[in-house]
Amino acid sequence: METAADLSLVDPMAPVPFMVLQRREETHDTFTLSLEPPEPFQFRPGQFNMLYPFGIGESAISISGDPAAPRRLVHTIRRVGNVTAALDRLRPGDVVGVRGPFGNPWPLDEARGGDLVFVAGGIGLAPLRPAIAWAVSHRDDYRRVVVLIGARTPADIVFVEQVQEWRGQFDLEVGVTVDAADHAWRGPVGVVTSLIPGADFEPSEALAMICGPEIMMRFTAAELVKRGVTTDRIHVSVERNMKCGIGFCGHCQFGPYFVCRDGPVFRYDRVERLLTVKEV
Amino acid sequence: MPSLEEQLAAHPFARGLVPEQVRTLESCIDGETTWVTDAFLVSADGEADHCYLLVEGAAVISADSPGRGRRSIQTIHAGDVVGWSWLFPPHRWAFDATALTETRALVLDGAKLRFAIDDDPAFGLEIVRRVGALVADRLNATRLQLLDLYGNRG
Repeated sequence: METAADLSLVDPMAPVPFMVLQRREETHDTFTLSLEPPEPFQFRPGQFNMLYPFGIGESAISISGDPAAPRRLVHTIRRVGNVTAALDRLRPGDVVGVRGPFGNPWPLDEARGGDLVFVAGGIGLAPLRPAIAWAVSHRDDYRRVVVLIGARTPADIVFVEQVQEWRGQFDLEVGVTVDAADHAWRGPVGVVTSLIPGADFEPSEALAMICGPEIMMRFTAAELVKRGVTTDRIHVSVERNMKCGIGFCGHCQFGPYFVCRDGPVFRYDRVERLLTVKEV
Repeated sequence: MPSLEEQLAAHPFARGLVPEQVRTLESCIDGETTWVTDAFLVSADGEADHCYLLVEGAAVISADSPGRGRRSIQTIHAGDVVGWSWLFPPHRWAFDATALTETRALVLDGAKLRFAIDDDPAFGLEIVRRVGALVADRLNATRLQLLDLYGNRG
């Protein structure tokens, strides 16, 4: 049977219509759309799709759902411009165009047998969520699994119920910290890097996956290196202006790479220098 | 339960001191104290006459903001030092700190510590180095918070 992903491979520039099943408000500026693919939709954690609210434009959005649920394609989106505002107006029963999945996934196979450390900043938890779901459902493949989450305030934490569910699992270490809070918040206050020194993992056996704004990823990688994780064992998900999704148009060029084709997940030692290049 | 001296020697603040300097630090011990959840460890503008080395629990540094209630700034844990106002004039705490859980600390007498710092420059240098590192860590953490690290990914 041909899947939607196969259809995209036949013509990767042609959007396939998917129906909106559910819309869920995550925070004041972030929402999650669950889409029904016409055929089971296979993807690997870390990949993204181009979502097309018809007549408005396309936007590259990471897949935030469970890879084991191919009949429900989930994206979590922050309202930042015209396209995401149009996606925000979609309601159950509406139709949106989807191209994908595109890009390189998180290296979950490479991490087998060792510790897994996920570090998410803000909505950066969305592209990591499929990888965390994978790790949870393949728990025996890994030793310690650590999930560290940072958000601006308690109200900015996405997937709150799922995070609480993860915290309830005895074989997952989950830390959540916020930059600012009132006194009702009983958890840690400080940026996500402050959780790294106390996290329970063995640096020499750990593989780390970081997702968030680039400045957050740089400081997080620096803290992991300080802890003893080497830069070839750290992976980051980079965002650039993805347009075609297949490395043709060049809009997402990132040094020698096209983010849509060679990324969005990169080994940190390969992009560390590029992340510090100043914009002109 | 280890003695106060043993707890002091095991605390990160004492790590790297030579035995004579540890003994000098021990001479500044003024007991230990425990706070229940939500109790104030220190209060803004209160006299900073003691240095608290956390050995158990966690506390949050906060400030009261008129009309906005108490705002939490940073969490500190076992192994941390509560602050540095005991070292610098006017020896008054700049912020509040409250216990997030039951929290225990070794208490060092601030005046004795300052005297020892002045009296023994080598000891003083070690203590000021540690406080400098503490200030730098907290400053870096505050800078990162100011950068609004999570704000830009769409």
